[in-house]
Formats: sequence, C-alpha cells, structure tokens
Amino acid sequence: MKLITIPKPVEGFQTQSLDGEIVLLHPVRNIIIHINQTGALIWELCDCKRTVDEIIELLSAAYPDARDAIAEDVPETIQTLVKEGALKSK
Amino acid sequence: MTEENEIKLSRRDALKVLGTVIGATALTGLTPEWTKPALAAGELPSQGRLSAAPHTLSCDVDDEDLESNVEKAPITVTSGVTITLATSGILMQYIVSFSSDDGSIISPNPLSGTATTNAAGYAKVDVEYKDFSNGDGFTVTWSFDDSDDGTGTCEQTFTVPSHNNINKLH
Amino acid sequence: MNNTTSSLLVSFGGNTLKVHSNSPQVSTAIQNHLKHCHVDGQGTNLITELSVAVSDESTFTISEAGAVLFSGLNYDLTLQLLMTELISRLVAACDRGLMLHAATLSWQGSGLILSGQSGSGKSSLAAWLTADGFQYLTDEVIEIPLRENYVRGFPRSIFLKRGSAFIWQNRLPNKEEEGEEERFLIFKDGGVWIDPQLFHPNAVTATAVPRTLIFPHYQENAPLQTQKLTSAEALFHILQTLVNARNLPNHGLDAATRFVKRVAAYSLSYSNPEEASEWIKKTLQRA
Repeated sequence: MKLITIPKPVEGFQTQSLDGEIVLLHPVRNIIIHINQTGALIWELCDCKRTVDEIIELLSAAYPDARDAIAEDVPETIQTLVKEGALKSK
Repeated sequence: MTEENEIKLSRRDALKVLGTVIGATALTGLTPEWTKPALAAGELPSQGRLSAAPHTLSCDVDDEDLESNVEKAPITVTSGVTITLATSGILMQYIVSFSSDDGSIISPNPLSGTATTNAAGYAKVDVEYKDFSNGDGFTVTWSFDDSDDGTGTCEQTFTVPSHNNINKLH
Repeated sequence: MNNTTSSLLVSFGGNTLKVHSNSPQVSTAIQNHLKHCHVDGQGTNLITELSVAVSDESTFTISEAGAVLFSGLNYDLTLQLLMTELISRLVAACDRGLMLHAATLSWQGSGLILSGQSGSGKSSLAAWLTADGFQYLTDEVIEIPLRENYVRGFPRSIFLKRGSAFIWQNRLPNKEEEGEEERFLIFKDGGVWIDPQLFHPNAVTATAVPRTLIFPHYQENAPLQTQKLTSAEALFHILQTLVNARNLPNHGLDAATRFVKRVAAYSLSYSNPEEASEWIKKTLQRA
C-alpha cells in the first residue's frame, strides 16, 4: 500500500454505526463486515479525499502516544478493507 | 511521518477534523487510547437457507484394478465420490493410504486433502503413481470434511492384479 | 397420487404452505412433529404446495406444483427434506419481520435466543434447557415482527443429530425402547425428532419478549468460554443468520439494529451442555 494512495469506499455498502463501531452490509455481494472503534475511524477517513499518509498524520496527531502503531495499523487496515471488498484504491 | 508534518497538525486540530468526519457526539465516545484496529468479515446467508438435510455418500466403485508400471512413466487413476442429494460446493475429505510398502504416489501431495462436489454431487481426486507391481496398491477413503454436511465414509481400493505381467513393457 | 392423499396446512410468518401426501406414514409423522405449529392457515397467504408421493413401499418423491424436486428418496430422507423445504419456503416468503436462524426459549416470559448456523449447538442447548424447565419456541427459526417487541418461533419437534444423542439418552432415559413414534422419532442415522412436551407438559409457548441473545459455538473438549458482545458485534453476528434480508426495507439492517439494542448479547463456546446451561441460567437471573 503506497502512502500516496487515496482509498475510496466501494459503492453499494449500507453502513450502521453503533457506539463508535461500524457494521457494513453489501446486500448484492452478501458481504458483512464489523470494524472496531479505531478501525471505524480509519474507515470514516477513507473519504476519497485523503491519502493513506494524511490519514496516518491525522490519527497520529490525535493519538500522539501511538504514532508508531498508527503508522503500521493504518496501511494494514486499509489493505484488509481492500481485500474484503469494502475499499478500493483511487 | 516527518518531523515537519508533526508540527503542522496539533492534537486539538486533529480532533476537530475527526469531529467533522465522525460527528461531535461520536467524538465524545472516542476511545482515549489507540487500540489495534480489528475487522471481521462474514456473509449474508442465502434467502431461506436454514439447516440443510444431511447427505450420504458412495464411492465410484469399491475396488478397481491398477496397471502395473514397474518400467513405465507414472500413470493417473481417478477416485471419486458421489453424495446424495446431489449438491454442489460440499467439501469432501480424501485420505490416500498405501496397502503395500512398494511403489510411490506422486500426487496428491500430501496424501490427504479436500475436493469440492460439482452440481451432480461428484468430487474426485486424481492419483498419479509409479513403481507399483503385483499385489501393490492403495486405498482412497472419503468422508465429509464438515460432519454437519453429512455422515459416513467410503473406501475405494486400487490394486495391481496378481496375474498382471510385471515385465510387460508398454 | 391415489385417493388416500391427505393434506396439511402449515403457517409461519404470515404465510401458509400446503403439504399433500399419499403416504400415511409420512402424513402422520409430519402432523405429529408439526402439531405445535399454527396449522389453520387463516389470514395468511398460501404460497405453494408440496406433495409427497410413495411409488412403492419405500421409495418417495417430493414435488412442488407438479415439478419433481427430489426422487428416489427413502423414508428418513423424505421426512427430513420435507421439513427443511417447507420451513425454507415459509421463511423465504416472509416480508413482515426479521427471520433469524435461531433456537429460542422462554424463561418466565423472558426470551433467550440462541442464534447460529447449523452445527453451532443451538438445538442441543435448546433441548437441554427445555428439559431443565424452560419453555420451547423453536430450535430452527424465529420471526421478529418489524414493529413489535416479541419473537415468535416455529415450534416443530426438536431435531437432534446423532452426535447429540447423549442429550436425550440422559434426559429421556429408555425412550428408544418405548417406541413412541408420534412423539419421539428416531432416524436410521441416529438423528431424532423429539416433541418438546416429552420433557415437560408445559414445554411449548408461542411468543416471548427477547432479552438475551447468545451465539453458541459447540466445540469438542472446549472449556466454557463466554464474552459479552457490543451491539455492533451482535449486529454483525445476527446479520449472518438473517435469512430473509432481501424482503425487508434496508435489507433488515435498521430492524436488526433496533433488535440488538434491546438485548444483552454474548458469545458462548462450550462442549458440556450442562455447564453451558448453568451459565445461561445465572446470566438470565442477573439480567
């Protein structure tokens, strides 16, 4: 995953947010995804505008004690969401 | 993340941006510590799909003759299983076991694995062997990979008949 | 089909299905093991008709509207397939509520939903808890009406597979020898249909108010492990058992969300149903 990539949500997902966690449902492709709170933040920030690097930057500023973990976790989570069919690279 | 970037965005600014993305209410419920993101994926079931009736199985034939191939290239035979009711996509487990010490099996490798049934309820595995001679052979044992799909096992034994001329060249 | 054909109406989720059979043996078994289901058909839509025909003493065919679905069946497979097919059709036609693949029981009016796919152990736990005095709604499928706060079960007889035989052997001793086929039907593969009233006379109830949602996972030799689930986790799991999503507004997402907000949800891994049942009872008492 390149840091300049702009991840984009795949069309057709219905989203349900519950206490900061998210459930995604794609009724045509029969996909259901549950994302915990921090994963949900990454998902929400994948809004067709931000690069992976910008998402890392924003979350690192919000959680300054976890910079190293965030630098690893963001690309990994985006990669997984791409693999599960919820995101695509712009 | 460069030093320059860190200076650009304060925590306060970052939370402000997050608030506009996820909403102010959600922001107040935000976890104070960063935790590892976790994701689980599942499938919406087919319309009306509940517990399926169990299947039963039967092997192609109980026993089959092998060709002796002491002095020829590897030969392939097929072992198959059919499930009733015919259903596609059922995972069937096979285990190939030797009934003699001689000869060797080139594939499948490893000797156990799974095959998926087709629309006719048929699954198969091709067994490639060499160096078997009179009386040598192997057995393929089939069962359901998931016991909820059905019950039972069946065996198909492949043996080189003792009357086979092992010196015969092909 | 000859003139000894008998018919039975089976209703669930606002729809009705008619079953015809020229086999007295099949008719009797189906009537006995669906006797707690609503069978008057009034006020519901007739969606289809299934027919069972016996061509000789032991070979059966199941047809729908004249088209053969299955042929060359033995008696056991005929009953099991007929049960599966009729429930599947009723469920697939329902558009007035969530249809969840779940067993459900009631304890003093509070609904306990055991949701999971085939093999999760929900029928085994349902049988065990029924024997412990719970009331039985279903071991297979529930309807949660979109604008109501109750669940309704499809109260067929409890179906236990061969691997769960120890449950009825433990809780209904000597049942095999008594040969009471109208309430206890044993199949050649070791599976059984058990009328829940064999466990106690008031075992069956039609509805309950959902309070607790458990996702059981049977695993041989596994220690008892439980975990409280968040509403989002419960929604994720429940959607995987929602078998009529395509009939519902927003594919049932909003209704399922309202439902999970109303209940306490847990995952439960177990190998010993007695141990699992004790934990469930304690959890219900605390709720």
